[in-house]
Amino acid sequence: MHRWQKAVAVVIVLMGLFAGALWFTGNLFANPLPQGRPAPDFTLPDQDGKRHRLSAYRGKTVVLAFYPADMTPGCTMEMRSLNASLPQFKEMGVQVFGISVQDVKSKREFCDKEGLQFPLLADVGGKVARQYGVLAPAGIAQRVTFIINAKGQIASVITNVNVAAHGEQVLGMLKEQPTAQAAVSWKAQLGQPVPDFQLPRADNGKMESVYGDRKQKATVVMFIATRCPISNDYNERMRTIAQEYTAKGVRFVGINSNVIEPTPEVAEHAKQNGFPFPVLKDEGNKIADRFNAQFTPEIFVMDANGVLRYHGRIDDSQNPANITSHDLRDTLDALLAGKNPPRAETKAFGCTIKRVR
Amino acid sequence: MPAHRFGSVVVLLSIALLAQAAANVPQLDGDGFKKELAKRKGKVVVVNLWATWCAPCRAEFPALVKLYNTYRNRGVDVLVISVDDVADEAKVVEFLQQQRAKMPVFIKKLGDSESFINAIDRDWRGAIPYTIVYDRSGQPFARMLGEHTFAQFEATVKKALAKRK
Repeated sequence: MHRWQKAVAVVIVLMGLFAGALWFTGNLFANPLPQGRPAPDFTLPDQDGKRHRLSAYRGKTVVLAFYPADMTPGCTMEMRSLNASLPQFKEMGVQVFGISVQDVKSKREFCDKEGLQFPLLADVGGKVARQYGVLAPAGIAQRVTFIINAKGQIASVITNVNVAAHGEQVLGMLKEQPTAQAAVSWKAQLGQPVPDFQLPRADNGKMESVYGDRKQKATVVMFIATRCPISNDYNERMRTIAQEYTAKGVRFVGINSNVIEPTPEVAEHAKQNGFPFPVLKDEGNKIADRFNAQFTPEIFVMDANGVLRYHGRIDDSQNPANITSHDLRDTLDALLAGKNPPRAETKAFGCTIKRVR
Repeated sequence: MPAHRFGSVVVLLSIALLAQAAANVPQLDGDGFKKELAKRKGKVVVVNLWATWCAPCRAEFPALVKLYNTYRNRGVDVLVISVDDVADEAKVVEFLQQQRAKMPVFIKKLGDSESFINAIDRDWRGAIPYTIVYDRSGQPFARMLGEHTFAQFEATVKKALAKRK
């Protein structure tokens, strides 16, 4: 054996040892949080700079896929695979996030290049990766996917990620576990996040998420009625306020929880009044119970993070001529300006929501 | 004065008086409500908040009329407070007449609805019909949101009557 051959062999052995050591220490230092533990809360920006707070997704199953780096071959395959399964995730009401330590700009490039349609979170500095026990010594995240249930607990930890078919892999695991959605119980509270939920649209029966694509700056939920004269006095105002503020990036959703008002009637009422927002039918008043909504029209406003910031009336007079306080408009103006709403809670006369007994 | 002219004056006067009576549903604000309640200490008091625009309110109204007629001499009073706009007083009067309502009736004074709602009950958010049953000491005994039947009102009133002072 020539001397140079020996040298090459030594180098190869050393490289192997080094790689092994890296692998070993990587696994030694990184210790993913186990199943059953509460998922640590965080707020991180995605590729568009929009901030996502994990606890705002309470009530939904969340898939959190940590990966080492944007635009590297393995990660690209993994993210493509998740992207391809998005329709199924959506159908199951599951929110998917990719997460790595590169910044927003890098995420933007990665998404643009690969056409990724779900949020990639920029965990610059790896703080969240560390909290989840997946930060490798090199300062990047290990490839580990967490499935977080609707109660905000870690339901599964996937350490043997199959990058080529990760979407199918996660879907398979989701199908094995009871959909946490049915079991959740939450109550809307001022200052607390209101989790996402879905209800069928009155007009076409399709399921609609209250937050939709989450691109809005605030979400207005309006409990309305077809037969309540007070609610009907506000039809015109709801329409104009919704038109005006949708243009400013606010999302509006109407909900009908009245047991006596059937879905076709709700759809017809929305059509006749030209409501520019979806009206959802809350059979069994489950969502009205979650919000503890009592009358129509009753308004709930969530900020960009899904935190409930206002609860009450549209304004202080059934008769438009006598309004002295435009509470809904004031709330939205404040939120859009990044301020606190002038009043978090107001009261007004309205029709009782007729519930199932 | 000729007899027929005197007669017509009497008729006109009576019409005017009747109209006056009909048009005068006493107006109530938060303080007024507290006074009305205080006056009735020692009795079980049923307070019902309603409006002519409220279908379930109209539907349950006969039960309140019956409750008053049945229990008025048994230590129970029933107060009905309309939260209609005072401009709609004529509608209120017409409805009360149709119902042959003989209990004390009031209409909310023009002004801030929110302070009125809070004066009636801090835990109430303004949905009607809303009925509060007070015990003999004037403390809220039961809160009934939404439409109720005579049997439900009666059962609650009986429990309130049975409660020791």
